[in-house]
Order: sequence, then C-alpha cells, then structure tokens
Amino acid sequence: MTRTGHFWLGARGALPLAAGAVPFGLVVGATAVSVGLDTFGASAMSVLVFAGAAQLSALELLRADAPAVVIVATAAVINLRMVMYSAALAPHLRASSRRARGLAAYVLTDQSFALSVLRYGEPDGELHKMAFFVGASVPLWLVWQASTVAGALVGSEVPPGLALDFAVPLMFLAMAMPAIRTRHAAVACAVAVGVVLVAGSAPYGLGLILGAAAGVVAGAVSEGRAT
Amino acid sequence: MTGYMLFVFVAVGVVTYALRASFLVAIAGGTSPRLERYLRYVPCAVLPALTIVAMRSSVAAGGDPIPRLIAGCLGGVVAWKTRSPAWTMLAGMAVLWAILGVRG
Repeated sequence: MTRTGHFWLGARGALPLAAGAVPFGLVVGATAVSVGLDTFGASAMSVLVFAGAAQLSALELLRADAPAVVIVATAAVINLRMVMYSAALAPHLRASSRRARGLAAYVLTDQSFALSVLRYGEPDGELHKMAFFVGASVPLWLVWQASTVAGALVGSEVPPGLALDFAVPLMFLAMAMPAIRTRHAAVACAVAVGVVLVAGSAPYGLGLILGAAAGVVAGAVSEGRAT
Repeated sequence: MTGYMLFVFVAVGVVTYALRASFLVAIAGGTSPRLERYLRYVPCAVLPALTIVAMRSSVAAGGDPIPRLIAGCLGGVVAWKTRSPAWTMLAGMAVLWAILGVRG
C-alpha cells in the first residue's frame, strides 16, 4: 500500500472517534461564549491549544478570575499525559524528519495516540507509521475546529434529553478496551482506575495523572516480576 | 476576546505543544528496554483513567448515574468483543437512550 493509502487507513479508523468528540467540542464552544469570547476567539483557542479538557478548564478558571499562572499550570497537569504519549510514539516515528515530527506533535491527541500504538503493535512490517499517525490525527483536528465553532454559534441549544455528552466517556472506553490485551495490561488498568476513583476529585486534574502514573508503574512492575 | 485571554491561550498552547513535542522532537534518542517496559503500559493505564474522568463529568453535568453506568458496562462488553469504536459508541448510546426512553 502507498503512503497515501496508510494515511487513509488511519483517517478511516479515526472517524468514529472524531464523531465521539463532537459533543465535547460543542460544550467547549458554548462555554467559551459564556465566558465572553466571540466565535473567532473560541476558534482561535481551539487552533492554539487543540486539547479539550485543558481548554475547558482554562475557560472555567478564566470565569473564576484565576491568575494566569494557575490556568497554565492546570493545563500542564491535565496534558502531562502527552509526555507519555510522546515518549511511547517517538521510537516508532524516529525514521521521519525532525520537521515532520514537529508537525506531528501538534496533532498528537488521546485518539491519534491510541489508534496508532494499537496499530503499531500488530505484525505489519509495511506500515508507513508517520502517514498512519497523521491520517489518524487529521479527522479529529477538523472535527474539533468545526464543533467548537458550532458550539460557539448555537450555544448549548442541543437538547439535553439526547444525553449526547455520554458519547465522550464512550469514546474513551472504545479506545481503552482494545488496549488491554495481557494480564499485565489488566493490572495497569485496574490500578489506574482504582487510583482515579479514589483521587479523582483532587484539584487541577491531578487525579488523572496520579492514576495514569500509578497504572503505568503497576503494569511495568507486574511484567518485571513475571520475567 | 481580550488581549489577556489571547495571552492565556497562547501560553496554554505553547505549554501543551511543548509537552506533546517533548520526546517526539526534543528527545528523539533511543529508548532503553527498561523505559520501553514502562511505555508499553501507557495506553492501558491512561485510557481507562480518562474513561472514568469523562464518566464522572458526564454525571456531574447533571446526567443520571445509574443508566450511564449500565450503558457504560454494556458498551465495555461491546468494545471488548468487537474492538470497534463505532459499534461501542452506537451500542452505548442506544442502551442509554433505551433506558432513558423507557423511564421517561
């Protein structure tokens, strides 16, 4: 298959996940307007940051008149998992140029990371990994920009009875389950979930990164003991 | 949008990009087998953790917890069996709509 073929392979895999991000984008757009941004401002934020949870927390903290340092630090904690993604992807994308990796970093998300590492784990020597990654990233970028603009325009007019917000946890669930393929992976998952349930109400998104780190260590220790 | 808000978004954007680029661009050197052992468990730890956080915000935003828990569990079974994001999300939403519809 050609490089373009691998791009489309990634893009096709990303479509359902991108659809799942629409309600999230609508909420972020509507929240931006409620904090006093116009449509252009909401759009500019989505282009500059392109990270839903960090955008939402930044908006809520702006509303609460939090100092800029707190807003930036909170976003950093929420997005700290990106360092893990970056490290896990780096060996796979080493063959690509530094400039390509620099551009790829901008579109690195939970979704494109999850799709790519899952695919890279399959015996598939011919895959053009960078093309697949970019393909897995672009649909989400487009959908994210469009849905924040839509959210800014229509506000939270989406009927709440549709419970569309539930698509967001389902989207993460759809990425999480295929990742659990070994006993050690199940240990990592169980520990991460346990810690998040206990520490999840910790401020500034600390619960998430604590749970993630604990899960990663638990998986590695479990594997280390077995060998 | 005020200049202050733009400043905040640029700052958040720069920090977020720096985190994303950390290993991909800045530290592109080889990884040790020891580090790789840890990195292997990033997806299976972070994605379930994100699921719980998102589930919690869905309930905190005013959602009824019990139907969401049931729909989430069934969605999990579908995800496990099919490994298909599309089927997982369709099944989960369908179950939630069915429960909410029947109840209300």
